[in-house]
Amino acid sequence: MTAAPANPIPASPRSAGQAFRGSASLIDPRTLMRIKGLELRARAIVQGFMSGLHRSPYHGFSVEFTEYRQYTVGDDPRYIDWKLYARSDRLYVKRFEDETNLRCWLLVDNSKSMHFGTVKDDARQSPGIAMPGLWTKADYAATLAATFAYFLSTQRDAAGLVSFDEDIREYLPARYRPGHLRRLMVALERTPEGKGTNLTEPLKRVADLVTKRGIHVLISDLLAPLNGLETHLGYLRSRGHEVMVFHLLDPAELSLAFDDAAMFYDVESQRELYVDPDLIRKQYTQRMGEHLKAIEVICDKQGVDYHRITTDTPLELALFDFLSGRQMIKRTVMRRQGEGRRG
Amino acid sequence: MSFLAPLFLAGIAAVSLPILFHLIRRTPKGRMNFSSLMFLTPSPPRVTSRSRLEHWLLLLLRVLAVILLALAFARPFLWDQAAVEAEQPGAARRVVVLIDTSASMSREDLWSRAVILLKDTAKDLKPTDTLGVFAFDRSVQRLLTFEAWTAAPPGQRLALVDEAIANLKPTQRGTNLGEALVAAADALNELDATGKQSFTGNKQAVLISDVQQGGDLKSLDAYDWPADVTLEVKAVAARKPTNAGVQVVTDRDAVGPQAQQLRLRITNAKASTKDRFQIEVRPLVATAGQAETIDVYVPAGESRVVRVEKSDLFAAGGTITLRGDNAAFDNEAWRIVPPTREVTVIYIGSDPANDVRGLHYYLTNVFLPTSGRTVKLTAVKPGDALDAQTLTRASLIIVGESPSDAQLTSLCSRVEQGATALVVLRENDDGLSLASLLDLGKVDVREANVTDYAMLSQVDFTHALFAPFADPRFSDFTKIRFWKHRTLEMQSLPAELKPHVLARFDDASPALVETTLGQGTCMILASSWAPADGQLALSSKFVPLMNVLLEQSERLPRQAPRIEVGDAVDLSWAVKLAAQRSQALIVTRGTDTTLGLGEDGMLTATDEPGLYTVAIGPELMPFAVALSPGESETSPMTVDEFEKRGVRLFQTASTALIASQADRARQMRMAELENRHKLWRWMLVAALGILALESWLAGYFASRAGSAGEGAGGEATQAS
Repeated sequence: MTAAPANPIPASPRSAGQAFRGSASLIDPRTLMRIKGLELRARAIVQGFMSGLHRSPYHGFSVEFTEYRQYTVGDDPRYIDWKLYARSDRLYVKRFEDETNLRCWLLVDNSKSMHFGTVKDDARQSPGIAMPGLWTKADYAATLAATFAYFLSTQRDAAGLVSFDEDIREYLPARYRPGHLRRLMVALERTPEGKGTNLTEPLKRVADLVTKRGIHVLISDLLAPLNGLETHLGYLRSRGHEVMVFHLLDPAELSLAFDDAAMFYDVESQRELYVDPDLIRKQYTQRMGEHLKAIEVICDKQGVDYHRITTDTPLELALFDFLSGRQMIKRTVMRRQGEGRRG
Repeated sequence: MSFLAPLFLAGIAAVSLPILFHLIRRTPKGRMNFSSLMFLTPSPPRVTSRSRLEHWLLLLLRVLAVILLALAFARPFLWDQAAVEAEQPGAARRVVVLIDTSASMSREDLWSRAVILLKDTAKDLKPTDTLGVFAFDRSVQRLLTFEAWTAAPPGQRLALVDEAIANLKPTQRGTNLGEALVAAADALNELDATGKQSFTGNKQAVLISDVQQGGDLKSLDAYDWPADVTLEVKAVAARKPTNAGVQVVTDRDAVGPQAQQLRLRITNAKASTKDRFQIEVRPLVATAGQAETIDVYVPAGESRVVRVEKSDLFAAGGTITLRGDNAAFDNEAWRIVPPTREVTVIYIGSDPANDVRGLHYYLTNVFLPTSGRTVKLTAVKPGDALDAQTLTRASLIIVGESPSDAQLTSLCSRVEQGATALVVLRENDDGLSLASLLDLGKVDVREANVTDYAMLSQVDFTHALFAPFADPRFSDFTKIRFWKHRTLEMQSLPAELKPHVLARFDDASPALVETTLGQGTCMILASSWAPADGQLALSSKFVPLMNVLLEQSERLPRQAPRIEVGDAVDLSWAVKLAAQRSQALIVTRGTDTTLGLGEDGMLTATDEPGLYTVAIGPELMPFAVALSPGESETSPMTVDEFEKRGVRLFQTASTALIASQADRARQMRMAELENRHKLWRWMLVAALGILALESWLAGYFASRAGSAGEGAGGEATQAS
């Protein structure tokens, strides 16, 4: 396997985690992927991440006080701030940012194209992987989703799971309950190989299913026609949801890093095509670049947080991107709310 | 080896495909699963730069299979040498030349031109060809057989033809062109001793004739012209086409003044340029000043019948000559009116001629005179003496009542000499007279018991008496009702009399019986035509029946109304008559040429038209032999007439057509050979076999390469 020459593919626009990327404490994905249990793997990532966090210039988020409101009959007396009552002899009710208000849906693409991988893991033989000993985008997506879920559970936030290919295959509502994380992990582990990718239909269904506001984290290779993607992302956004897109790609997909001519078999459409990579590499990277560019434009337009990750990237970086994205969302929300009040 | 569809051989070019496929080196090594082909485009296969081919054996098998398939589609076959020779354009021909010797060929110089054409045809033949020469007019004559031609050395064959036609010249006979063509086609297709066709090459009939329209083609209508025989018509046309002919119109049934009328039919050929002619009529016995000339106008292609005034002058006969046309051969005709003969019928019975209840009354009305004869009915009462002279002349004697013994004796002797007696059984006693007439002891006759009426049945239509009624339109005899009839015991008639029942009543008793008596005949009618016995006299069948009986009794040969050149004339009656009278019989043509008769009294030497005379002692009986009327129709017929009758014409005009026909024949021959050999089947089987072998070999190689390639694949993975 030879690395692609000068890459025309644009760099990921959100490179906020550059400083973090420089950190030496990152776990090499090759090492990480040797951990068999998804939950263990997720915990390893999160704990590794946490351990490095104190050096981060950013603070985490938690249950935070927002405002006082005068007590009116009918309010729950549990929320009366007795200390303030003592000081001012007035009954005020404390209002918090509801910690269970954060509902995060992990939209994991499980289509056939996700089961492609060229990044090698010598130690394991995964049955779901296209070639033995290689980990696939699906493996990576599952790990990523598990990491997010685990991280959210440590924060007592509700995490839900939507696994889809052409249609929604698995749906776990966003909850924070004992055992929910376990269910979620199991669901991520057992999800079978799906069929073709259809981005629009699952997004539409999710928008219909999820009524409460939350964050939707779409983990997909987005190797499908982009018709309607913008519409449905915009639809989600219009319902008040925050959307983050983790665009997973195999390094070989970016550069068409193959040597030999072969019959290329589309695992989704089951079409076969005789391809000589040397002849068409330039054309391929150009078309791929156009596709990525189109996705970026769509995300940017819809205010969607877009991260492109190749499967050889350490997962902590993705987690960092997730957190920084959330932070930014939070600030945006607060700013908007402040503007609203002033107005 | 040849091919029926050689275009398919272009399919051999397809062998380049397996070779090309073998040259393509960068065959996909395997299948590579990829996430999406969205951004991929197919790459053209690369041809190896190395000239080394891989898998020589497989390539060979594939190329062989393609070649075999192409060959099978091209339908190969092997030429059969014998068949090829038979189909060669220059192959041997068998030719029959039909040369017309009919009367119309005597016009102008047609004959000499025809002879030249015949010789030219013979000269044009190759040494391998066979020639037969037939001459025809109303019959066909083989002048030169194929065998004689083949037997003669090639150098002497033309002399053979000259010899065959040396004494040949046009006759005065009519033309039966159809029969001649049939004879030629049959000769060309004649079978040899083994029942196979003696010759299978090109068969050709050559007709050298003036192809006149009068040539009779009727024989061709019922003939299936063989497909392999072609007809070439070499027509000789008269330079002066005008020809008119004259024929006498005869009406045998005309009676009285009508019979005396002389009517002539003048026909003018279609190609004639003239339409005005003169007819001169002279009495048979030439007397100066009695000739009559008539001007006739007949447009070309039509005919006119003219009536000659003062026909009484020519009542006995006349010579008719037509003038004004170019060809003289058909310009003469003769009219002979045969003398009216008197036939005597004797009726023995006592009833008066005006008694409608008797038999006599009906007999006076039943025998009507014709142009040829008058009938004298003599009634003799039983017991009266029979006039010997009358009896000698009488050919029919009707016995209505029992005659006296004397009458019976003379009657019996007359019948034995050849007369016919019709014995009408009116009473039981009539059996006695019948018995004595037939010289028998007793003939049982008794009155039949008829409850209502009796009808005739089991009529023998094969007998000459009833033959005219054989047609289903006339054969119903059940309308004739008999109130009474007698029953005749057939056992009482001995076999030596050859009794033959001609009709029976519906109770199966005989109604009309014929017996022989000496040279004569005795007819026995078991009823009568008297109204008391039945309705026979009222029936429409009565008059013809009695007239046929009278004709039969006369024993005259039936003569055709018109005798044409070449017809055989039955003169046996004259021979008999001369023998009876012990006088010499001389038959002459014209005035001097004496002709001989055949053993059966037939005159066959009617080779020329004209007046023929039969002289028995001093009595002269002339008759005319006329030219066939068809000979006057000298306009040439078109070749369509032959084609309409299915004759395949030899096309000399269009060589392209001949070539195309030859091509077609060759094509058919090739198709037939190919169909016989069916080599394509074997080639197809061989191709399938090779393909099966190739599949097996390819599978074997692939599995071997696969097992070898797994190790190689592992190494490749390690390397990456």
